[in-house]
Amino acid sequence: MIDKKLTQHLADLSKINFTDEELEKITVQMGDIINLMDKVKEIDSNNPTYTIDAVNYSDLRADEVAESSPNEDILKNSKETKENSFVVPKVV
Amino acid sequence: MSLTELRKKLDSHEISVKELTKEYMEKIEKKDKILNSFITVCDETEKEAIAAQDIIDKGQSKAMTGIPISIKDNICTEGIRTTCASKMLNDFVPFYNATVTEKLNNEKAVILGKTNMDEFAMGASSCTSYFGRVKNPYNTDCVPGGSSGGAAASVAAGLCAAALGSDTGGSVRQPAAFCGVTGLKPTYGTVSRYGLIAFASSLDQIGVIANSAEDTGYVLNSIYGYDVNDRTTSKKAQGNYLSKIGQNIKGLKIGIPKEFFSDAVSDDVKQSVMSAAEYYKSCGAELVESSMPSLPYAVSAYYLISSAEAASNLSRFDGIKYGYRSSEGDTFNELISNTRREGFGDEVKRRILLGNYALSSGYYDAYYKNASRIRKKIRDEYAQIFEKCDIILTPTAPTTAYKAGYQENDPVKMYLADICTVTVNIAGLPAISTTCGYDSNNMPIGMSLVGKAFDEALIISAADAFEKDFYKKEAVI
Amino acid sequence: MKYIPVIGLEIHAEMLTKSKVFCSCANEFGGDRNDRVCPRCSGMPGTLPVVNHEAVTLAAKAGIALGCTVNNYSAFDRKNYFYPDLPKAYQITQFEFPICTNGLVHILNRDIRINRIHIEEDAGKLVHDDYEGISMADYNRCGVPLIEIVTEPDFRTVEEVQTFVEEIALRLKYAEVCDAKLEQGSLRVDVNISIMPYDSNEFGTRAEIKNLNSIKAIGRAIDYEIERQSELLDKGQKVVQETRRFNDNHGNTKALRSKEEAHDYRYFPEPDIPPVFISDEEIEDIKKSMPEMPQVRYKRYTEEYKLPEDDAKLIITDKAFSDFYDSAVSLYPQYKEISNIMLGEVNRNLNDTGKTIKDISFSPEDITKIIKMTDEGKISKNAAKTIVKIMFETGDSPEKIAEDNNLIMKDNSDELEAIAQRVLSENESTVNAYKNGNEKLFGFFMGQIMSAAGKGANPKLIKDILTKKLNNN
Repeated sequence: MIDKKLTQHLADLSKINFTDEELEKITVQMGDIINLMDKVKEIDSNNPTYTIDAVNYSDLRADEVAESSPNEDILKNSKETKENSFVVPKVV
Repeated sequence: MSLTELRKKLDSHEISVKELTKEYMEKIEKKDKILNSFITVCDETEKEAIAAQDIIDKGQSKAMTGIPISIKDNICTEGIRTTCASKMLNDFVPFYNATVTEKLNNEKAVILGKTNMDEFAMGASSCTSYFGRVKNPYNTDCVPGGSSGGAAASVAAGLCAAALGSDTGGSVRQPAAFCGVTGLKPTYGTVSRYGLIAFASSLDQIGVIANSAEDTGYVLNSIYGYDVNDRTTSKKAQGNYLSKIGQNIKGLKIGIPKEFFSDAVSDDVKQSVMSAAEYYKSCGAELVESSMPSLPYAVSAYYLISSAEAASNLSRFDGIKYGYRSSEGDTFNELISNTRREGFGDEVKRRILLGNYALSSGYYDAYYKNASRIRKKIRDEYAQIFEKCDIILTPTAPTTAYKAGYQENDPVKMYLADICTVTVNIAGLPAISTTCGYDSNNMPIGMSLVGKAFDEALIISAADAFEKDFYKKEAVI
Repeated sequence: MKYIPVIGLEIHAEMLTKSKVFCSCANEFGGDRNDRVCPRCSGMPGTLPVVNHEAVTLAAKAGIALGCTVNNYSAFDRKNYFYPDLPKAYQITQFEFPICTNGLVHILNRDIRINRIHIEEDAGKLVHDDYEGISMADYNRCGVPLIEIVTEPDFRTVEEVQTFVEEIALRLKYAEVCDAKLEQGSLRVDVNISIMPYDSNEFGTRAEIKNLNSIKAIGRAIDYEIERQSELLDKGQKVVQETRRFNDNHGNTKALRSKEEAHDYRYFPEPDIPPVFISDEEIEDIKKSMPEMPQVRYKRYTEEYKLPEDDAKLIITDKAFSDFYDSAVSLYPQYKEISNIMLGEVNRNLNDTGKTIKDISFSPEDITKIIKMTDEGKISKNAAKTIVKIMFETGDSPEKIAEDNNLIMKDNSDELEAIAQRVLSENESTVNAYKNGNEKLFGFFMGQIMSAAGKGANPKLIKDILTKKLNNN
C-alpha cells in the first residue's frame, strides 16, 4: 500500500519538493493510480518481456568528429553562467 | 481543398504563398483568441512566405513549399521558443532543429506557429497546459482532446493547412477524433524523433493532423525516413504513402476485435463505428471477428512504461542548463527540487512519481517488468489478428469530447479513457483516426484503422475511401 | 585477530576514440570549458544518443585482451541519478547485457576472474569556487567513452592488486584501447575491500575506495583500509558499506557523502538505443586486427627465445620497444644478443636523451647489423656500444659510423702471421714451456702479438693464428 512515507521517498527520488498538505493529497491520488496499475501483476511471470530489435554492429555511427556547438549557444538558455560554465550551488 | 490541389494552385500561381499565409494569419488572429490553439505564433511568416514563393517562381517547389502548417510545441524549432506547454520551458529557445522541422524548412513550408498541448504531452484534454486550456472548435465548452489538442483545433478551425503532432498513447488520433479531423500516427520508427522533446521514447512518434487521410499521407511523405540522428528510425519506412489511394476496398479484410467495443465505450461511439464497418462491408470488404484478450491490461502497462520513461526523460529539467530556475535553494538538491516543484504541473508530477515507483528497487519486477511482459503479449496478439486480416477497425475514444473540468482532476478516469489508442503505441503500429459520425450534440466521433507495421499506405487509402463518401459537418468556430 | 582481505576492483578506462560515445564531439583533453559540447552531450531536450562504432570495437578489444567472451548481443541501460556533472540526469551504461563477460587474467600464479566489461559514458567536471560558494559545470568530458572492468573479489594481497592493475594497463595499451595513465585519470581504479577472519569463508561488509591515482596510492589505501577495518572488528564494531575517498596527503580514507542518499539508480533499458548485434565473424575480425598481447610475447621470449624473465619483462613494458625487438630478431635471430644491446645501450641512450623508441631515427635492421658485425669479428663489443651512441646522435648507418670512427678491426692475416711467427721465434724457450703443458702462457703470446700489431688488430683472428701455430709446430 502506498502511504505518505512512500510518496515522500518517491518525491525524493524524483527531486520534487511537496508541502505536507500536497503530499497528503498526492498520496491519495497515487493510491488510486497504483490500484489501477496493480492489474499488471496478474500476468504470468513466465511470459517473455518486450525487447527492442537489435541493430547490426556494422550499422553503428562511424567514429568521425563533427564541430561542437558554440559556447554561447550551449549556455544561452541558462539562467546562471560563469566562466563558460553552468552554475550550481557548491556541491561538496 | 486537398494539399495536392493546393500544391497545384500554388505552382500554377493561382494562389500566392503570401496571400495564403496572410489569410491563415488573419484567421489565427481572429479565432485563436477563443481557441487558444497556439502557444507561439511566428512573427516571420511573411518572410518565410516570400522565400517559399521565390522557390515556386523558380519552378523548384517541393511537396510542402509554401504550405502553411503548425507544429506542436514539443518539437524543436531553431530560434523559435519551444515550451512543451510547461512553465519549465516557458522561455526555452532551441539552437537546433528537430529533424522534421529541418525537413519542412528544406522544403520551405511556412511554419505559422507552435501549437498548444497538454504539458509535456501528458494528458488527453489539452487542459494541463501552462498557457491555458485549448477549446474545441465544435463546442468551446468542450475539450479538444490531447495531448495534440492545439494541433487538432488549429486544423479543425482552419488556422493552418496541416499540423504536426506527437502520439505516445493516442495524442494525435484522439484529439483528431474530438475535433472532427484526421490524425495519422505512423509506425514507430517511420518519423525521426530527433528534436521531439521526449515523453516516452519507446512509444513517442510524430504524426500528422490534417483535413483528410490523403493530406496526412501527403505530409508524411515529406517527413518520414531513416535518420542518422535517431537510430530507432527504420529503413523499412519506404514512403509513397498515397500510393494506395483509390484502391478498391473489395476483398479487404477488416478485423474487429471485440474487446474494443466493451461497456467502457459509449453507445453513440459503438454504433457509429459499427456503421462505418457496415459501410466497408457494403463496398465489398470482409469483416473479421477478432480478439485481443490482453486489452484489459493495456492501460496499466502503458502508464507504467510511459511514466517510467518519462520520469527518466524529464529528469534533465532541473533549471541549471535551460528553462525555469527557482530562486530558492542553497544546495543543488534543494535548488532543483524547488525548480521542479515550481516548474512542473500536477499531472507531470504524478507521472514522474508513478514512473519512479515503477522503476524503484523492490517494485521494478512487479511493475515495469510485468508491464513489459504485457507489452510483448499485446504485440503478439496484434500479430495473430493480422494473420487473418489486413487492417483493424476500432473506436478512437470511448466517448466524444467532454466538457472541460469534467474529468481532468480524476487521473484514473482520464487514464482509462486511453483504452482504445494505447495498444497501437505499445505494438508500434500505424493507425489513422477519421470522423465516422456525430453524437446528438453534433460532436464528432472518431474511428481508427490500424495497419500492419509500415503499411501506412493501406490505412490511408481505406480511411480516404470512407471520407469520400462521408458528409462532414463544419466546426462552429 | 588476523584477517584475510578480500578485494575486488572496478576499473574505468577512457577509450581512445576520435569522437565521443554518443555524439560527434571530439574526444580530447584541454581547451576552454564547454567548448567540446553539442546539444546531445549537454542533455538538450529532444536530442538522442547515437552509438559510436569504434567505442564498441575498442570495448570488444578490451574484452579479448582480458580473456573475456565478447557477447553477440549487448544492450544499453539508463542509470538514473541527479548530479550537476550529469546533464541528462542519467548515465547511459550497460547493465543487463554487457558487451563482454567472463574473463580471466593470470598474475603471480593466480587467476583473477573478470566478471564483466561494459561500455558507458563519462560525466562532466565540476570546478568549485569556494569564495562565491558555487560549483561550475563543464561538460567537455560528458560522453567520453569509458569501459568499466569489474573483477570478482579474487585478490588477497596488495601485491596481487598492483600487479593486476599494471597488467591490465599494459594490455589495454597494447590493444590501443586506452593510454592507461592512472595519474591523468584515463585509468581509474576503485577498490572494493572487506576483511574476514582467517578461519572464515564468509566475506565481510565491503567499503569502496575511490580516488586512487597511482599504483602506490592503491597499495597505501588498501593497507590503511585493512587496518581500519581490522580495528573496527577487533573492537566488536561493524564495517559500514560505503564509498570512501583516499587522501594521498594523509594516507587515509574518508567516507564520502553519497551521490544520492537513496542509492536507487532505477536502471531500465535505454529506449533511445537499440541493442547491438555483433556476429562471430565480426568478433573474429576484431581479434585478428589486434597485436600480440604482452603476456603472449613474454611466454615466447622466455620459452622460445630463452631470455631471462627479467629481460622479457623489460622488453614487453613498452609495446613499441617490444615491436622493435621483434622486428630485429625476425631479421637476425640472435635473441639474447639483441636483447642485451637493446636493454643495455639502446635503453641507456633512450634514458639519456629522454626519447622513446618511437622517436629514434634508426631501424631494427641497424641493430641487427651491429650485432652481425660483432659476431663476424668486424667490430669489438665496445665498438658496438659506441656505434649505438653515435646512431642516436647522427642517425647514420652503423657501417658508416664504424668506418668514420675507425672502429672496424683490421683483417690483416698475413701481417699478423708474420708478427706471430716473429714473436714465437723470439721466445723459443717459452714456446717449449707452453708445449710442455703451461697453457697459461697462451695469454703471454697473445699480449705480445697484440701490442706488436697495434690498435685495430682483431683479437679473434690473432687467437686463431696463434692456436694454429702453437699446435702445428
